[in-house]
Amino acid sequence: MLSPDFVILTAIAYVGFLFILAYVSDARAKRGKSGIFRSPFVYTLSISVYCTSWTFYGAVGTAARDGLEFLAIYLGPTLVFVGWWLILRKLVRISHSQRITSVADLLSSRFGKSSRLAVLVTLIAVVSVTPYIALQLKAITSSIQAVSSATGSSGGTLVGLDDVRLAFGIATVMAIFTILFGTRNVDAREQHHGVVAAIAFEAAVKLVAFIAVGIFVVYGLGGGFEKVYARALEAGIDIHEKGDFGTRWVAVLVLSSAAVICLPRQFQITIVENSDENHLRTAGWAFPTYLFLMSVFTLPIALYGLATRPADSNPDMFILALPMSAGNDALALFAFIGGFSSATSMIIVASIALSIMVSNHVVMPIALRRSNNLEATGDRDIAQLLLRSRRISIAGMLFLGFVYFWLTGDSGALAPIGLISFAGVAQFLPSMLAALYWRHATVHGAISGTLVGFITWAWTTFLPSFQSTSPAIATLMAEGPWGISILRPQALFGMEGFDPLVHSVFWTLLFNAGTLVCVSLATSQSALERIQATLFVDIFRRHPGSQPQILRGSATTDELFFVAERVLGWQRAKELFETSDVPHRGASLPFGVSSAFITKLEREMAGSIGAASAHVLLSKVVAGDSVSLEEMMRIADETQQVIEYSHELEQKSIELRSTAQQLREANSLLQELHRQKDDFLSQVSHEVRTPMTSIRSFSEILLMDEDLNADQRQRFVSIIHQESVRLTKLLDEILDLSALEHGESDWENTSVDAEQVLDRAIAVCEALARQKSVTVESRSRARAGRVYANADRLSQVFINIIANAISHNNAEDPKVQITSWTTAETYVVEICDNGPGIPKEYRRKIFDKFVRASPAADVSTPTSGLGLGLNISYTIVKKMNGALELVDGHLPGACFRIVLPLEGVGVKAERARVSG
Amino acid sequence: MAKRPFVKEEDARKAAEAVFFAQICGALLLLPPIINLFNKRLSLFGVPLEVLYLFLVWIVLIASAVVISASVPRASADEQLGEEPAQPTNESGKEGG
Repeated sequence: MLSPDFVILTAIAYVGFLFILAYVSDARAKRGKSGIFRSPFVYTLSISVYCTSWTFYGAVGTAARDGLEFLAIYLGPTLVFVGWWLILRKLVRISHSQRITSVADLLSSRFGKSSRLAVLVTLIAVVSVTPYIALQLKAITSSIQAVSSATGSSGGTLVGLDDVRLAFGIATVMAIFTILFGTRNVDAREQHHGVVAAIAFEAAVKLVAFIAVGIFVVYGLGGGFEKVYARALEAGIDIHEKGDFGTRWVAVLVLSSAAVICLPRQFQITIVENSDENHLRTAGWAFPTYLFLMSVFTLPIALYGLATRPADSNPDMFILALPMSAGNDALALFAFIGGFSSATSMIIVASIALSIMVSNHVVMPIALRRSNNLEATGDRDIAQLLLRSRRISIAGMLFLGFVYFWLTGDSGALAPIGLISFAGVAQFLPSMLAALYWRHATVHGAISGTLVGFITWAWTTFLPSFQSTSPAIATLMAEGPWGISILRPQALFGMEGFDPLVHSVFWTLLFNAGTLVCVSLATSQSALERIQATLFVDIFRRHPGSQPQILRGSATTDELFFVAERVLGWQRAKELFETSDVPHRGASLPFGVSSAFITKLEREMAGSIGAASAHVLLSKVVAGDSVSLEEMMRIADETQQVIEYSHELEQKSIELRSTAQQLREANSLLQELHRQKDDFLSQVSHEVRTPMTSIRSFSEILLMDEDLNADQRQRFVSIIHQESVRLTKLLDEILDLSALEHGESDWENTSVDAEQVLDRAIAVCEALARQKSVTVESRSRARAGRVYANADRLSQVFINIIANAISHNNAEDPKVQITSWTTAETYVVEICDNGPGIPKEYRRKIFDKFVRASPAADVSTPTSGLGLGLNISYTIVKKMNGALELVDGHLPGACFRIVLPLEGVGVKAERARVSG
Repeated sequence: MAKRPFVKEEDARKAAEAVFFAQICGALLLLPPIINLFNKRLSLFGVPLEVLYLFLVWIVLIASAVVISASVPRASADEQLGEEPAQPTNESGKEGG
């Protein structure tokens, strides 16, 4: 038979062994030889702190009472760990890069380093975890009582204690142990190598112990799985599930999935104590396997216990009772140590995690607020303050757990107590998911959602847990506050007929998430929140090295070192400053410290005192010119404006360039026109000068020389006359040209028959033709061609061209052929001759002024043209919307074609032009 | 070398999708109504069918976790630290999550 004293002494010895183990691994880690203590398997085992005495003792109890429900507690975490790549990896990555120390720190850091949110989360964590710690105390006292009741009260001095005193004693021992381990120093990353090693060892012990008992019961006592089930059937126990898997199964699955992330101790071990992201790779399958192994024997043990133990025995203690009743003391002791391990590991990690939260988020902000001037605090070392507050809060946590245990008394099984905690910490889940995946969730949304969820939880779950001990609460639950029945804690808004847990999970998560979303949508983020949100949500998208530089400005290195030393300790602060090449003593940089260094320092300090406190602390020292996002936006706006302005300038300059081009073109046109005018003037002077010269010289001869005979006199006078006629003709043509070019005021187009005009022109030229013996042939002619023209001017064109053809024709058998026809829209006349034609070099400019196809020597002959006729004809035809062209005719000489639009085709356009 | 970031990004995206799919499938198998298909008061080798079913799903989940862990890309030390990387152009494992 086991002596209770022996059992208790064994437990104390076991704790002592853990202490040594933790001490050794801490020492090794300090020397940089963490080796085995930093392997992924140690990490996985330490995560198994999830399996507390609730698992070790309570799961068998749940299996005995409620069948397979206990499995949901382990299947939820299995699902989460199978998907480690999605959520856990992101959490670990964020926590490493932001030096996150706890759930509260994570949420506070994400939501703009909000102190209020951190305090709220810490408070909820403390309240939620208190029942959980009470559960462990209850499990340990129950197990000790189970051992002692089995042996009777004979012998031993320790057995005489009642439950309450025993629990108090256990709480005290655990507090001392935790304080000794968890608060030996303030680590930069809140990693406790010694504690993790001890926890991993305990995880191995509880697994081996449970499996040992399982094998002993199933194979040693029961004779295999099949027989265990058969025996249970014989004993009249229903081995099947009672009814369908329903809402409660789903609720427990959801809660356990949430708890494995949100429980402060799980967050501490899985996320904060993680030293290498790749350890998750192993934990992803190893932790579910651990849970699997812990669950394989649970149901058979429960069924065997139910079938063999007396009906009034506590199924939670089957795991101890079965080996003891079989007389296997060694196994019973091992089982007790296993259960003790599971309870103590939970208490240690949970109280460390909570103490970090309390000290960083509650004590530090208060201390910072009370001492506005940090220099004045003198001897008050921040690191010392942290350690002291942590020690006190560990003791406080265990005391609270004890009080809860004391108040709720023998409120029954272990599992329901654990589920109260699960439902409490599940209130972090909406904010946490929003923190990781919803960029626009605001701090107001997170605070109000969490708060509403917490209040609903306290009302529907936490308060009812005192039902059995407090008559007032029992009344309230039955009738509702002030008799308002729709506010009854377990039938909120009249939702009755549901399991209390399902009822609570439904309302709390609905209110929580709903408030979070609504308030987030209704409020907006601050600059810091926006920056942090991007850092969190886009952690995998972030370009390394692009840390935001939130703090900027002019702090002297002395001040910074002073703060860093207080928080990190002299040694670490010195290392940090030296690795960053920042002088820390005496000399202060004239230009202050780089913002990159301040950001780095803030992150390091956040690892010790939390993001919010570190931010507050450094903001005090760094003379606060922080660049707000608004300011950045303003700068960006200005830049944008400058860019737009330069765009406008560019466009303007393009316009200017094109205007300049146009001006240049216009200028060259003007110059060309100017040149043409000069040419014209010199041509005219030349043309005028030739007859004037001869007139002058002949008149001088007539005046001077009186010896001239009458014949000579007559000849000279006729020359003078010819020349003056020529001069007059020239001047007439120039006037005509100028009149045409500048628009004749009395120019009028009327409907005329071009054929008649042509006939008249031919008749006019007949005399000239006869004089020159030129044959004028009218070959095929159009019958009629009504065009819209000025008859006199058109006649002038015809006469000019025909006369040219006649007078320049020096062929053997000179002839001029005139052809006319109409097309659908035009009336065409071709006047061809068999003269010398127009030399190639003149063809292009034959219609220009003063261009003559014949050599200049002919000028003196009175019949030769002045070079203006064709130009005038060309201008006239153009004015009648027609065209005068030089074409290749069928005769060897020149061939001119006149094309005029028929009446009715171009009339409208013409009229518009004339009237306009 | 130039192609590596792309491959890694692609891997990470595929891994995320596969993991998400595995999680959803696991959840479906563990939730009503599928779970109730196996809760018909039947026994196999003397053990209730629902018990065997749940443990079988569990084993499948563990097996898929082994496969996932073996196939998803590893995180480099630089990436994990998230500060002052050796090469500024380091791949930023893009992952929707």
